[in-house]
Amino acid sequence: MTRLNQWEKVIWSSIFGIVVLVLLIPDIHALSLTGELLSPIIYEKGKVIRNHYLIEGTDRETNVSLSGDLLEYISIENLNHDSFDLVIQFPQVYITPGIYWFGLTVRELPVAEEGMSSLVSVSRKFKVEVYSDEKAVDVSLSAQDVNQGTIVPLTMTVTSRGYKDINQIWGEISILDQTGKQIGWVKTPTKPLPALAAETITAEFNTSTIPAAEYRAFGILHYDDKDKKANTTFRVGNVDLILLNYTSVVEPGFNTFTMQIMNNWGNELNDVFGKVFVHDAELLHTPSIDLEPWQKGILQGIIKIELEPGVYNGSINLFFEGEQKEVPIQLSVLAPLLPLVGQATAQPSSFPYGWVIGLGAVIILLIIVIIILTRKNKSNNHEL
Amino acid sequence: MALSSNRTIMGLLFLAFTLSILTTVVTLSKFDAWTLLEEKVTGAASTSASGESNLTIVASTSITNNVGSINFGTGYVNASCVSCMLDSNGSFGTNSPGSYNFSCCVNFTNVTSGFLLENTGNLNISVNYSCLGSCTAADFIGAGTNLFQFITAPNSLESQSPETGQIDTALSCFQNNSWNTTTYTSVSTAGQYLCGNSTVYPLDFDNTRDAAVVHIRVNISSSTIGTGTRKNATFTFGALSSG
Repeated sequence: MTRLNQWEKVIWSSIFGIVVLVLLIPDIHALSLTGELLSPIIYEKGKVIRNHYLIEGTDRETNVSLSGDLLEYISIENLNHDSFDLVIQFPQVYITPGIYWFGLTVRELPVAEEGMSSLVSVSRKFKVEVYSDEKAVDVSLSAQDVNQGTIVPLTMTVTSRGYKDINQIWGEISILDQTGKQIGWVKTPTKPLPALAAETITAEFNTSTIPAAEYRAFGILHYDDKDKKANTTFRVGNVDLILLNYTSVVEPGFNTFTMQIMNNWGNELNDVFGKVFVHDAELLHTPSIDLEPWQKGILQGIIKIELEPGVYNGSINLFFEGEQKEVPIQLSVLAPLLPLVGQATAQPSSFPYGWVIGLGAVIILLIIVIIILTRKNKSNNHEL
Repeated sequence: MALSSNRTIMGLLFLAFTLSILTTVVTLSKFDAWTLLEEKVTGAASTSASGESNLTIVASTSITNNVGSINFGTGYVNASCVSCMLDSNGSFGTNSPGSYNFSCCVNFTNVTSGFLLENTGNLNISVNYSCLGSCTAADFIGAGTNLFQFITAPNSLESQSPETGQIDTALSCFQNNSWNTTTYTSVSTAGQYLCGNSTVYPLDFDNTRDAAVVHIRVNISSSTIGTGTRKNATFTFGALSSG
């Protein structure tokens, strides 16, 4: 029997590898439905929509089908093995208002296969919004947070949800304080609103006569002989820093003390820091931070408590933009926790044992490789 | 002799080259690369004279099943065993009455890959399945205490290949493994949604979390009488997106 030389061995190994690779190519099924998104579709009488779709990724026969609502107005045209058109042709009449759904599915057709096999299908689900034949609107009210003494714009966004033009829309907006008492009233200009269109109407409210606080705007939109309500809240701010929360319970020894604060102004507050006092003794002076308009932030530091357990009155002094504000606080000092008898506290070692072991392994491997190569080289020289 | 050997080498080299080309063509056609080059890239310049270019990004609802079939082969249950259980996750043997016993499944194939489903489009989808053919244990295996079940798992946990993009590194379906069938569930003809539903499409198209594996498990009781007729069950995996 003839022995294969080195070249023949390499070649036969390569061929074997290639054949194995060919045999191992996976049985992949893929299907793509590609086309412009249409949903949600706004129903308009007589409207025609034609959308082109590509069917890709499969070499099998496929079936295209429709399901759901409004199928009498929807069809498939120009169907080929890899593309088709979806045609939606709404009638020249209004249909019952509401939300309708229909689906478009492309499905691989099964072929005779034994055992467990698979196919894939892809579907798109379409939403059709049919609005009222009467005059109908959606309305929302929005307002910005402003500084005291400035104008707050109150904007009503009105979207027509009907197929009839509205001759005029206008809004009246009441401003209520936190007790619900009306402190102001404004009216927007009047505008027409075509069918299915959207429009904004804005009124302005002067905040120079009201204190800094949070307020509610309650609006009524009038459209022809109908109306609809909407409301929102807004904040009138001033140069102030509000303490929202703080660490109120501590233990003897070292504690992390945190203050959550908020910039109550529509401009940036720079160099903001806090101090904590108990019995006129300063326990903490935090690092300073900057706050964006209306931004919340955290002031934090370590305090050392050398007080007996109990509740103490103290204060937090907040500093910002050269101003100072004192907020009274209460600090509860808990009794110290007794250590558990016999408790072992194992500290994780900071010595990088894993790194050293890994490096050692790599060095040993390199030494072995060098020894093998040196011996092989000597052996070759010896043969020569 | 040397000439003959060289000719052999040349012939074998030519054969290897031809096989390589064939392999490349077959592989590319499987991955739909030609279509990709011809149609999917729509950003090609429409005219060089004016220097204008068009870029149209279209929405694609797409699903790929990277493992199209599962074949446990032909075999029988060792008469000394209660049952033989075959699972596409590589479990092979029986767990009844105790530990796995590989000798319980005689001549069957040990399958180690389930259906690998992947969102290969650019829209989020929900995933469902239905089954055609012998879709119950009684139909597929025969009467008796048999099981024909499936389970779904994110591919970031299964690490099955090949995925079209990359092997997932994050949980798929709502990005938190919200697959509806994370315990073994009986196969049915009607099927069900595996991820999401008809209005919620939570399987992301992001390559790091766009795939899952559907494993199939059959349990054949030793009392099952083989008919000698091969049964078939065809799973249709569907992708649904907003239109």
